[in-house]
Amino acid sequence: MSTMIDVADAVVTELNNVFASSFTVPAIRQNIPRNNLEDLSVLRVTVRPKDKVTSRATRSIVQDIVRVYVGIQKQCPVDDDNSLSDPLIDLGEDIQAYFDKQIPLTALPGVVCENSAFGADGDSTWMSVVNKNTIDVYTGLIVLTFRVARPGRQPPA
Amino acid sequence: MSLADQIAADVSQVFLNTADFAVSVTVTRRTQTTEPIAVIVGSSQFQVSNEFGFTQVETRDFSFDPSEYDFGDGAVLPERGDFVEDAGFRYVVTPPAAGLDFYKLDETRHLMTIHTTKTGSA
Repeated sequence: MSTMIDVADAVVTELNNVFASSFTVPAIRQNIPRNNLEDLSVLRVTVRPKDKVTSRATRSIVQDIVRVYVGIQKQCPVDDDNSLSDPLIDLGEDIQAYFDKQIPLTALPGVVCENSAFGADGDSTWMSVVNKNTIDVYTGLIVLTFRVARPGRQPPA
Repeated sequence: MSLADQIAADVSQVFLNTADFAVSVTVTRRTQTTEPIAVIVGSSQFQVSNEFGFTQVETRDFSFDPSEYDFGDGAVLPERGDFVEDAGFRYVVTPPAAGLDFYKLDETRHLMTIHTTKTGSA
């Protein structure tokens, strides 16, 4: 399996182990997140592989910088007085704070989160507006960055 | 009877007849619910996307006799946030786009149509 998928699946496992009590339904991985609006009447947490940058760390070690999205989505009425969206922002910060502790991933020991960003990937994704301003879906995005070292092919002598 | 009169008569006798084209739904506003209303249903689906992914949206238009839009104190006009329960799903009255009306009345004033969005289970 690819490094991106391994890391994304490990993040799903971690989220479901640590935040199960906060989730309405378990987090899942979706490479192309696709929901019906009615599915978002309850909280959905989706992990999506974002990108990978590879570089050579030493003559024998290659390192992958893998980024994954964690999307927090739920319907919020357009006249929400923050009472529905505040808990979603709190959850996003809790998830961010957990990964910022740099605890190794349970499913991938030795792999830790190097940094994170929450809701910082462009205003257009912070609050996506569905159905042309008539029904809103709150979409909070966390971008988690992991460094994964693996043996590389030996360069020619 | 003129053709116009005949068409107007057909609205209630044929189109809004649950034995023919119509189905029966209820509409709720906060804690008040209408009696079952005979409606004609039209639906459409579309998809919206952002950087993260896609969301599939289903909208429905419900057409009915405006005199039946009654929560117990006489017929009223639809309000944003009213919702229709149909076949186990909830459809919330919303404008089709920001700034547009979410209901319309036909020229003969025999048929009102509301625009709704499917938001979840009833």
